Amino acid sequence: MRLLTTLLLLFPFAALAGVSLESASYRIVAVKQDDGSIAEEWQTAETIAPGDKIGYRVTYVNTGNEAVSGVTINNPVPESTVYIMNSANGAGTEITYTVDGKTYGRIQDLNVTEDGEVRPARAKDIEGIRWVIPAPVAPESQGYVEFQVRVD
Amino acid sequence: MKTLSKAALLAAGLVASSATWAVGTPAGTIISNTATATFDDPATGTTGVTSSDSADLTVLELISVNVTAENTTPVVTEAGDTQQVLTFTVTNTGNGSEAFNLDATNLAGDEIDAENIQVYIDTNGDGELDAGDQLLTAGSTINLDANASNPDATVFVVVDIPAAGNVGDTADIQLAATSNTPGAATGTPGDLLAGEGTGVSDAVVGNNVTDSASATFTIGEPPTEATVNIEKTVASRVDPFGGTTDIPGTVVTYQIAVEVVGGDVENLVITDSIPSQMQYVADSVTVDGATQTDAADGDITSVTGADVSVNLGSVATGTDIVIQLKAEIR
Repeated sequence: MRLLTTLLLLFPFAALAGVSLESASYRIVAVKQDDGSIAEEWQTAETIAPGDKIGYRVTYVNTGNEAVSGVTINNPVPESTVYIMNSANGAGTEITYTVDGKTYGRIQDLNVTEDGEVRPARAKDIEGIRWVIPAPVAPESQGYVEFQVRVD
Repeated sequence: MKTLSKAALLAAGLVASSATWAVGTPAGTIISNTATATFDDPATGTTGVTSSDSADLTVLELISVNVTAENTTPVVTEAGDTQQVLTFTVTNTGNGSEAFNLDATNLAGDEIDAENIQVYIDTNGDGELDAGDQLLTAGSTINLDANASNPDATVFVVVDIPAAGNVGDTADIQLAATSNTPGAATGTPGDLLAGEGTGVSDAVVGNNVTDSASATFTIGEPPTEATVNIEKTVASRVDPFGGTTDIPGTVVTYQIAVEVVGGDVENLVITDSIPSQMQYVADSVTVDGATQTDAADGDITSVTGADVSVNLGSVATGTDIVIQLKAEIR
């Protein structure tokens, strides 16, 4: 048993190759600013409440010695949450979505079948988000993509 | 606390942090996020795959409650009536198991105040106040589990109507439900209640940590007593000579007018015994003109010897019924 655990711990390092990913979650809180306006703050948190917004930031790093091309990040929308429309972003990335976990497209191009009727996809239908980074990622450089969900 | 600075400005209307959710993610649920990346691996020339660690958030217990009055129109009662009932539904709209205090009170701005206000829980779930239902004594609470079969409960507010009330007076009664968790009632939405969660360590105050609804009694006209008026008359007589004299052989048609007033009646049976000086004419009964047979069969009339019986059953107030029967003078 101990041996197996050790192997499992080792395995991710073997798969690192040229790119590593880090996912961080934040509780999004609307905070009144000194000038009276209200801004959203992404606060580190370990807990969340139904109805709250969660912000996810996925950071990618090229840990190798060579430029890496074709970097594509996939992130399923977590269970018990609903994607917040238009919240996905990522500088210089092409963002597509999936409602079935297989095919990806722009939200306005996605349809779902409900009760035998085909209708345009809505936020609650989004199962996953994909970011394609068209430019090669240079060694030791990094970037991030983000999206937001609301807790059911 | 580390905070990512965000320039995004929000309109004030968008600030509401936690909307009311009928069924929230259960307290203690862990929301995990894992991202995966694929890339062209320059070392091997194949597609590389890498995954992030999972970023986990634990769902707090959200404290939220809803109270709905099931009596949407005033409940008509009478001055001096006791044990009058209003029905409410109390729902745990949070995401955990939560105890709530229930408080029923008279509201101001009406004519009368109800007396002897008591709160019962519909323990047996039949929607009616009966002997099996639990009286909620002062200081005791009702426990509702949003994730189990009892997220809501039917609650009866039972009162006595003062004898001094006048027709048209109203009594407004409010039922309020408030979380019994320490700090919840005085908290503002979003407040964290450390160590007070169920199913998870901490709880958070929702937008509806307390809720209330009201319903109304109104004193109506005292009900009138149902009365059946019966009037028996001679409708016609035909003697053996075609005249109208009362001699042996004359056939007399009796008419029994039945009138129900002041309320509906049930099991109304009209009986008539033909005097011994007369002979009932077989199969001569009619009810509102409809022919009847003497046998106790499909129709409502049965005749045994000199006794005529018409079973009118349930008769609504304001109904007039005419029964006719014939008898011959011996």
